[in-house]
Amino acid sequence: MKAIEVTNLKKSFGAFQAVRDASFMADSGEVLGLLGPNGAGKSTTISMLSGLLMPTGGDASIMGHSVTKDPEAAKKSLGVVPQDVALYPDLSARENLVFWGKMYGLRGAGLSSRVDEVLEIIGLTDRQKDHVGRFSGGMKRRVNIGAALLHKPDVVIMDEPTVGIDPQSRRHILDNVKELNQQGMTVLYTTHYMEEAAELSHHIAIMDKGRVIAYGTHDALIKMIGEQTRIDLTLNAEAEKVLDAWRAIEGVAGIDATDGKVTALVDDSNRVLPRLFDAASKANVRITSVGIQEPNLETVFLHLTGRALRD
Amino acid sequence: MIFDLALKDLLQMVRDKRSLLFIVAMPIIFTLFMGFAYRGGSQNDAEADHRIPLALVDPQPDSRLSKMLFTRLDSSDSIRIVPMNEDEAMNAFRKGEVAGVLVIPAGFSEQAEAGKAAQLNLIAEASSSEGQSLYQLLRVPISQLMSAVEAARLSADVQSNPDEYIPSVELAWSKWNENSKISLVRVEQAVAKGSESDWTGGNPYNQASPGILVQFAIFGLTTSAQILVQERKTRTLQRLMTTVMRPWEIVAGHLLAMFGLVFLQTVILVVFGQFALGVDYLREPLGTLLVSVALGLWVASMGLLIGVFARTDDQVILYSMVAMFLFSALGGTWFPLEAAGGAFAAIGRAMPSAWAMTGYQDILIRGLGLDSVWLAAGCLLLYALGFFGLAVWRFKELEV
Amino acid sequence: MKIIDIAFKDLTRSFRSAFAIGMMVVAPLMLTGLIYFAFGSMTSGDVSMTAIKVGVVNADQLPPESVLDAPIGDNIRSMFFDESVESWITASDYPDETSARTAVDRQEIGVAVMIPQNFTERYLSGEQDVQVLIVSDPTLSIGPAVVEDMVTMMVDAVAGGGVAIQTVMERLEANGIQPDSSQFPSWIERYGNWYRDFQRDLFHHPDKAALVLVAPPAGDAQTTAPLAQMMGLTMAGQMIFFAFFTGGNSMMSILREEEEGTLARLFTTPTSRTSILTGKFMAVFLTVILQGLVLMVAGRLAFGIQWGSPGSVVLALIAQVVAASGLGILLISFVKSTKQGGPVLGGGLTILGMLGGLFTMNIPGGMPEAFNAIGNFIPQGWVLKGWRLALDGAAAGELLLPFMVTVAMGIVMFSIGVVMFRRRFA
Repeated sequence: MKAIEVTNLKKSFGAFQAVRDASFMADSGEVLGLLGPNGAGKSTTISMLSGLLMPTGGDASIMGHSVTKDPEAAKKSLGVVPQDVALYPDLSARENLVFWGKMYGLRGAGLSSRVDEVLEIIGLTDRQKDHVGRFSGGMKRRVNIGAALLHKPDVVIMDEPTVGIDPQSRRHILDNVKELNQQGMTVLYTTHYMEEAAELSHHIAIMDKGRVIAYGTHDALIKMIGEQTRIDLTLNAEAEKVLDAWRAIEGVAGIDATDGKVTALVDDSNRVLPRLFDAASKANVRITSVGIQEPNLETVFLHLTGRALRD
Repeated sequence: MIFDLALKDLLQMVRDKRSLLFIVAMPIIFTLFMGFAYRGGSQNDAEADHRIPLALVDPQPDSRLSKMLFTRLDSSDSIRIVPMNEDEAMNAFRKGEVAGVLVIPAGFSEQAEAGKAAQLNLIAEASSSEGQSLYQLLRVPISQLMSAVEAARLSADVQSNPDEYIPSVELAWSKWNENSKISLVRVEQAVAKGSESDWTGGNPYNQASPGILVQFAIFGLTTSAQILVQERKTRTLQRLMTTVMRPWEIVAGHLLAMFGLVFLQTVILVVFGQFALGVDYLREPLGTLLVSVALGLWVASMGLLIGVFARTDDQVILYSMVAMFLFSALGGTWFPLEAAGGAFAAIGRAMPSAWAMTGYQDILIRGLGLDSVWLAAGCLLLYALGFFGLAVWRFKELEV
Repeated sequence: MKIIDIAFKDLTRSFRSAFAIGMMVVAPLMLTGLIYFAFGSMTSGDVSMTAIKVGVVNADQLPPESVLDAPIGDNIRSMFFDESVESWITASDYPDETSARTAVDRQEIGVAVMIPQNFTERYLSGEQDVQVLIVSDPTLSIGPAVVEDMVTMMVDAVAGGGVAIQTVMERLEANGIQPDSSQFPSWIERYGNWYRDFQRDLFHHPDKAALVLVAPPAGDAQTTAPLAQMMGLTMAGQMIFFAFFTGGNSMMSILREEEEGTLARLFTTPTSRTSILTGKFMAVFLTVILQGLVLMVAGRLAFGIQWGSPGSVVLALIAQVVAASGLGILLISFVKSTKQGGPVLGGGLTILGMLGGLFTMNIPGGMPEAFNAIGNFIPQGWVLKGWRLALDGAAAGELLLPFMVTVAMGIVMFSIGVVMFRRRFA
């Protein structure tokens, strides 16, 4: 039984198809990264898995429970950390956790001790009586995560949990995710930061324009584009003067020119780079800056979509 | 720069549809409603009977005094008599079909004519105006009836002839009937136009319009004070203070915007009152302008004070509401201060809202000129200065 | 259990909000307190209104060989300077009409009483156009009415004396007897004594007065003091208005949660939407009930308001709770955001309150019939009917009609609101 299984999931809003035939899965105990730019359909997919939206087509299951046919059972196995902090600002940290624990069916002494544990995990035991409204952004996010862990779910969905926070809190959250995973929790982690996906995930699903365009381990995805290196060049003249010559160079897999910047995918940067310089010189084009990027998920995305992940 | 800040504030306020509702629509609706209420009936329905209905329960309607009283009351312009038995009468009273029940007990005539204590009961809601009016309206004819009885008894005693009673009582009563057609008291209102005698100066909106105007001017605080609170929340105030604008200029800009809003509302209500309701604000345009400007400055300075003290939108609404209730009630916009207890009225007369009411009433109801409103305007401006001073002091202490 | 958890959470948030407490409890108490401050001393019979400032111009003189000891004008004037009225009338003499009118214009006095020259002589000679002129500040109503009443009573006393004397004389002449003018003083004295006793009984001895105002028959909880009744009605009006506001404001919690993101989070938990909505509705009901109870206790303790018999009070309160909650749920079901909610609640409930008669209970002259008819379609109007009956001491049975109508309205509004919410959050 897969912890998360998404099969041909679809969601349309009128004529607009937000999610089209998305399919991916996560084994128990793994971290699945869902990577994609803004507007790719990640949040819509998460909303369907969380039971907030009803799919237009396809299905998904959490620990074998269909989100369409057996949503209550699915939710019992699921903890959701929403992108925006969703807490009651005029209740204390403890009161918030107690309430959310009750919403997951926890009661009495068991709830109380679990709240103590979670407060310990998120490092807010000494601030538990303070109203959440008075917390810093980072602290609010920690309580936001804590509220999803109270019922010890098998699966946790974290929707871009590090957006807009300071590097220290971000680090804290990433370490938390690893800890949770080590305790056996399956984590579905959505992000548009490829380095987070690369660091945390056992498998990565890349989404763009509502589709899952790639799925696999980090290494497998890199290999998909042939471990090509990316060279970013800035020129002092129109790129058209030299593009044809560069495309003809052996070892150049692809060239993309946008606003005076050229990105080339090459097999071996050591071998190809001098040839690029040579061709440019012959075309009277001066290369003003060079950047070499070893293959990464950004490259994969670029390869698959022709666009940068951060566009 | 002050004007730029003021314009920015005004733009924000006017774009908020919610504030437009409270600035324009609500006061107009309220004015219409309260004027309608004070008018107390449809002026268009000239044929409707506006007399107060009174059930008359009399087990002996053919007794002498009963007939005499019935004849007088039946011809009244103010009371409509409906003879009923006791059950019907109480039923009609409970349903609201009659405003009161006058019970003439059995043996009333005999007892009164024998010089013994005889009592008529008026069953009515003492707390209602109709109940009180019925009592006042019945007191005169009943007093005259008993006076006629006493005159007749006197006449019979003078002639030592009991048979003289009946012709004497009839004669005395006919004299009272004649007398009641003559009015020995004439009431005139000072300075009011026309010969109407009701206290609203002839036009019920003369009271309602300025009262609502002052009350809603105060409620306009909410909108203007919220601007300041929003500036603090969004940190734009902090940003403003990093510019070349000095603190007093920031305060002045906000004050100007708040004044503009209140003044705009006042103008709308004055125009509405003048052209839609016949309230003659423009009989003394400079006077009306002076009072309106002073009112606007006072309210704006109070809005500024609330804005610097309040931290959240909810606090603004709460503080503004408290201010509105206090100043409206104490200032006589809800009910005339003369009807209130001594202490309340004494405090109320000192309130800026009462001065604003006085200013408008001097023009509308007393028919006075520009000279009469200087004092009211001056008092309002003094209050404005006081609130402004407090607001500036508090603003300087503010941690942005 | 989750329904109760959600309701309790909403209640906790409500009672931690200064704004909510302010609108639920502080505002209605403050408003009623202001009215009490204005009129409250009068509920104990102490009519300590602002003293009426009266200026008297008495140009009257006694005609030669008059049977009267003093001109009528003197009697009228002395009425205002009598020590029995000095707590509520401040009288001063003015030499002439011009100075008195000027004093009215300057608001130095509220009412000027002008007794014309030779009033007594002209009146006794039968002139019909002789009048006492009362000039009043047009912004005043009570003072001029009181002064007019006093002058009329005094003039009536004189007129009564005249009627009595004329009656005796004419009857004597009708019987061929020549009236003895030396008897006039004794006749006048007898009539005057009678009139004085009659007026005294009328105003000060209700057990002997010729006309007495009696409150309608009611139960044990009835209060006979008219101003105490007015306070009760005023407080009831405030309680009703703010109960409806509380109903709507409490339901706004669902919009707040939507904006905060906690509503979506609730939907991700294994808690059915029905439970979530039910919990919220329960919070609305509980808040309105608690508010009503607090205000009733406060009204009783602070203002001495007798709300009525227990059965009537229970019915009136239940009707209020059902209607206020139902309308609140209905109104908010049409609103998309808290920003919209403000005007809908503030403006909408104020207009409904107006139409329901909450602000015009004590207006002189009452309201036109058409207006009263509109009130029959407004839930606030029916709640007010119930409280009127309860305050008047009606038995519970008499409240059954307004109770049933109000509860029916509340249930209908609640049902529509539930349908709207379920559609929205399906």
